[in-house]
Amino acid sequence: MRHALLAVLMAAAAAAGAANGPRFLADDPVRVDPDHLPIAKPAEVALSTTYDVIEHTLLHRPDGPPPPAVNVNTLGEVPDSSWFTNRLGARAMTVEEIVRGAATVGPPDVSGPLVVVAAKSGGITPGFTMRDRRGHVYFVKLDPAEYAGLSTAADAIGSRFFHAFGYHVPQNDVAFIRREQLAVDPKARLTLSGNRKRPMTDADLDRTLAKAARHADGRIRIVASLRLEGEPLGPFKYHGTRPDDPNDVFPHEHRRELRGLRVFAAWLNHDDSRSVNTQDMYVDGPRGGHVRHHLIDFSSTMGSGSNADREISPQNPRAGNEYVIQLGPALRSLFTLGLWDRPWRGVVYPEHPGVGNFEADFYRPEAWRPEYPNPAFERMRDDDAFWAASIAHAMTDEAIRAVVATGALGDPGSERYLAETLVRRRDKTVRHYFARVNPLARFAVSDDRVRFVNLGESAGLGRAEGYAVTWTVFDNATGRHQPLAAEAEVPAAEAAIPASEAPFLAAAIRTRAPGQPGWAKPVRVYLRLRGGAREVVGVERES
Amino acid sequence: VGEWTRLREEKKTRVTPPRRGFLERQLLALEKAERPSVLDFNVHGFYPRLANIASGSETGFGARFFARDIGPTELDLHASAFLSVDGYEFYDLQAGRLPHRGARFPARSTRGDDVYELGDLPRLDRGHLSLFASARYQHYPQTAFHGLGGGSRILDRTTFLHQDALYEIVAGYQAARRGFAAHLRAGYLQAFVGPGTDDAVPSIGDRFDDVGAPGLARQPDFVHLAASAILDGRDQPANPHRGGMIAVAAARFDERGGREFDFDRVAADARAYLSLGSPQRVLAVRTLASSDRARGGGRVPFYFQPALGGSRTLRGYSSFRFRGEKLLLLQAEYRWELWPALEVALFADAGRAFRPGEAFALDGLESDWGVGLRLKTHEAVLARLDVARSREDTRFLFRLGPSF
Repeated sequence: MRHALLAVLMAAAAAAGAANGPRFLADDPVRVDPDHLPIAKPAEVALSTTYDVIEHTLLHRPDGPPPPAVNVNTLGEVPDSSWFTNRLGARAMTVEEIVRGAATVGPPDVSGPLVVVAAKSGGITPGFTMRDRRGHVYFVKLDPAEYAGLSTAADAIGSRFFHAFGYHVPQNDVAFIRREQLAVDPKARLTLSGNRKRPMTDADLDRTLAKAARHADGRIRIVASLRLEGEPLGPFKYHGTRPDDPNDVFPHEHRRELRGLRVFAAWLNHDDSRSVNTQDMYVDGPRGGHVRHHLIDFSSTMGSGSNADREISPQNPRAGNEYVIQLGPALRSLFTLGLWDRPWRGVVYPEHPGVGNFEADFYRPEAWRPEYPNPAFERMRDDDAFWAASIAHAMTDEAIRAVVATGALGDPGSERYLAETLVRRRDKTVRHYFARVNPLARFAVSDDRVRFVNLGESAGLGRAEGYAVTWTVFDNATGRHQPLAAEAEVPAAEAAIPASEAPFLAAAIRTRAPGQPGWAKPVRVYLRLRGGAREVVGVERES
Repeated sequence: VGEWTRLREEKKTRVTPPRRGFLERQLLALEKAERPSVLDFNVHGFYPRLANIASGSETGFGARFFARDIGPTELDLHASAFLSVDGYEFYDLQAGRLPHRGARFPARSTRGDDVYELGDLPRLDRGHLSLFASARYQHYPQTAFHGLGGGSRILDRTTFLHQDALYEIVAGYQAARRGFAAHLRAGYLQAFVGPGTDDAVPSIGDRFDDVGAPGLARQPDFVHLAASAILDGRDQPANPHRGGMIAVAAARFDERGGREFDFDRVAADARAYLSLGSPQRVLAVRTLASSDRARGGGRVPFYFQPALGGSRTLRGYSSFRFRGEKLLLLQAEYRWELWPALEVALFADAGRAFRPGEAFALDGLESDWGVGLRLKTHEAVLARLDVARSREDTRFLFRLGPSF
């Protein structure tokens, strides 16, 4: 059943071959996936994290080469949807906009009283839920005293990165508050073992705050995460679809933005990129409610993690390098009597308590691992990765430094190290994936020429000596190509469009660059004649 | 888009609620604490538990009671009772300021003259003064005895009933988290020795007399004074990867109403853990020495003399296989982690119990070797399966807790 559905989706998405109808439809390329059709509110679900580990370690593993992602348009892009909004890489984003992130109402108003409305019930970071005097509700998390800034900065920084990438995320801000500002709401409850509840007291709050990191002036350092709009429905899974959400028709493991998330997660060392850190919300729309899908909780990104006592601490060096349960290294260790050692054990991390264990020398994007297998990550193909790397490439050094500053680490040396490490990891990530395919992008038509950008060149990966272009006439009904001209070499990233009245033309472009065999793979760009002018309607990338 | 919309309209006609399988539902209930953990189950503060009552006993069943910070005080109350299918019994009761960490139970035994126990002190968050009264009764009906000293023969195996009751006051100081702890104890000790209940081997009286087993004919009461100290530099005491510890203990046993069985004991236990170029490879070594000295030409009761054999000392030999006034144990383990939660170990043990009058020596050591598999958390070895081979036996040992 699942394979049958996938086949239908693939056919719908790719429309490859005459038997499946025309390759390009009138509304291609689709910019918006209308997956916000009004639906009845789905049930709220809870996730067993233990079961998630078991399920993803033993089940849902790829059983062959993964098929192409199914929710892409004819340009290979991800349309805007309830999962994703094109931002970085798709349009110009100012540094201010990137830094603003998902902000709607801004950080909490900490100039007045704050009411604690609930104790925190999940996760490992201590915290609570509070309401500011404007009535906005925030989930609050704290750092341990010995690692001021570690998880709170990661949460604030991470949310801005993933917002810029295009994901729906909460607004997370670092703030500083005083104990005297906090009053426990008489209705606030604490959940005890056995699902027993009792009123939360000042003593409970004091216990929560006792080990929290503080500013030099005594204020408590927090990260405040604005409550998401809508009604919570629980996390989404990285495989399958929600059976009670009619809009959810693409198996999650075949969604490009979830496959490509691996690239961003590797860059930012978001080893906790798993279902428990996602959140579906039932939100109102113009015609009724629908589900919006969010990534939440970035407190275990970069160098922040937790120790075996489930306390916030610098990231375990295993995280990002090996699954929690990975048979290969265990067997190697067993049969060599422990003489073979995990290479990542030799990594030395600089001492930055607010940054934790984060580095760029040992990091290899292709070898990076989340905590346990992620079905979408495991199906990431080179074209998925290229899509994500193109977005990562659009994040400038200046923007990275500005986002790091929102973590308010308070130590210029730590901020500088964190920003530099992020820049280096971005470069490694982008270059790795730009080398695996022909990295031509941003195709556009002007002055009877098709122009493009070699992202590999702009990433400093190499220099193109030229481009071999082969033009064909494309029959949109049959999917056949008819030669229009012999292969021609052009020196720059543009090619003249041959004179033709054919409704569709295609140009297969190979990049000639020494030392970059992946760039010789053809990228085929399709041009449609509409209103007397050519426009780019499709891009196919061999991966 | 039309095709995508068609798929959605079609799915709208077959919407079903999300379903969770049985396993996922059970795990979820545990994670969300909708159901208390098995370890949290209690009836009015009495927590059912499984435990090894004594070396050589079958697994015991029982309950522990623990009330901490009673009322506005920092006083605690702890009690436990255990029985095993082969008739072992253990009861204890402590009241006062006990050494414990948070809501966790204090260490079960408070015997204090057993240097092995020093390594198991709880790791406290801050400096802790303890002062408590303790009472303990134990009834071990199948304690093995093969004769004294290293020359004892397996063929001479007997068992005896060992009962004792200890009432004592304990004062202690334990420094924050790691480092130093010291305890002083003063108490009254009553002991009784009777026939063993293991039908498969003779009872002690069938093979030994009061000469071969000093104290067999008469078991007086004792006033017991003890002092112990530990200097602990292990990174995780129950799952160490580096560091070491040294513990020393001295005890004085004064017979009530006589001098025949007055004796003193000194003991030391030193352990070191060395990471071999990686935290996943650990070389662990241990030396344990204990010496009892009878005062005024008297004798040391055999049932108080320390012994080797069993899951924590000479693993290739049965529990209490070698008993003597002096005792020397050398252990080494090469441990390597397959995963942080799973460890393999190659080990070797050597040791000897000495007869009265014999001096410590490195010749004549009994030895064994073996391989083990350990299930761990970051903090502690939860369980281990050791297979040990000696000249007498090949033993499969499944035990809770670390070897050393």
